[in-house]
Amino acid sequence: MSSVDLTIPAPVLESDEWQPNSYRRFFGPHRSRYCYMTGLSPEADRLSEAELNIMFHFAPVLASYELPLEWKFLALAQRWKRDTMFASAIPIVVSHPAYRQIIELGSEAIPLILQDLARESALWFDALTAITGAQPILPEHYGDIDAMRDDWLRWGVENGSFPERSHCSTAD
Amino acid sequence: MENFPNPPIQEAILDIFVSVPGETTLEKLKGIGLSYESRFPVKEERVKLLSGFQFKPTGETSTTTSRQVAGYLFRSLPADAKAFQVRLDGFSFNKLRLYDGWTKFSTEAKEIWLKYRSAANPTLVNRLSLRYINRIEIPLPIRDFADYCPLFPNIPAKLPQKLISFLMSYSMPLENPPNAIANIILTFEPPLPGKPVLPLILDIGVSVPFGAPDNEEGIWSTFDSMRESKNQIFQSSLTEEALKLFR
Repeated sequence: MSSVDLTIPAPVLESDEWQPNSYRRFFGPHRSRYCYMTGLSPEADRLSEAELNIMFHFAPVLASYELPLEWKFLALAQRWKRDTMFASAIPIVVSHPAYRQIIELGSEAIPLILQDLARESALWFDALTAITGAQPILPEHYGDIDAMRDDWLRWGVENGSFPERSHCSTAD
Repeated sequence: MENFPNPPIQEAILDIFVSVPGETTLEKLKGIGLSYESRFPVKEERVKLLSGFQFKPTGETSTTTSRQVAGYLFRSLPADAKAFQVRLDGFSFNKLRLYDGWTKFSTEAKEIWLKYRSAANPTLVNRLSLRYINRIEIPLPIRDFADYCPLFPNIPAKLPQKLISFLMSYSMPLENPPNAIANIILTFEPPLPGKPVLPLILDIGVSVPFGAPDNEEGIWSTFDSMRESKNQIFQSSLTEEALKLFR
């Protein structure tokens, strides 16, 4: 009997990456985290945010169910990033309840955090240290988010929590 | 169709989505920017993030995420407030406020598209899209939103007549051009303190499948038709009271 692939492709979210400095320099301070299609104006952002808010509405619900770890992590991470999007004080960012819940997920969350960190330089450093007890950031790298990220990704490769090929800086 | 001297257009976007052959590279597309360095001196990468979940019959789930450079964005100096994007999946031309008319907008878009077409050598034009994002500042106080915009949500009388936010989205088929679809999205921004206006954001997009990439005349006559439909939607979506704001 031949097997049938019943894999259901799930909805895919596509977005352009935030480019805050260049945008602010050029068109003003209103750029939000996501773009809507190919639009560049603050109004295009507003529309995009309104649509994403509908999606984010479900994030806390997802996080409260017994779901696979990946789901739970993504829902919590989305909520954390959404709520702290405009926060500049690090203590506020890392004391968000969703961030603390991610820490409570424990060592199984480490590969997911490192994957997220490889994609964007979010402030995962406190969570990584809280879970692992490690502190791989070189003293001269403090304050340089990209360098701090690379130190953690290198730690991930060395400790088998992150695939070497996933990040160019650590693969070299 | 009436031309308004003070249109509320915040951004006009003309998109041509294509399929390109394997030999078309990002490096080739990047070269287009060199031809326009004086008019569009700022270059940025367009990065696409893709993420999703999969459910499998075994109960297993998987998540996928990827980040890739999809093309480049070239911006003008701020005074001109325009940009063009060259990607492996298409070309876009953006004009931000102040919009100075269809003729100028489409002529410049066409000029750069021809350069893109020559570099990318598309095998298919999948879709044409024209999108206008309007910001309509309704003076407050108002008696009824419907005095300005019939698309505004009708809140049942027994509920509080206040809104924190709303987002309405309509998609409808159009006859002109054939097979076109209009996407209309309406939302608002909370009024700013000291500024007694309610900013409504009315986004009108028209898109249509196309086909052969060599029908250059067809592309631009289709855009002309799409613009006519867009204008009709705009004027039908607002009342005379609102249209007065743009005269």
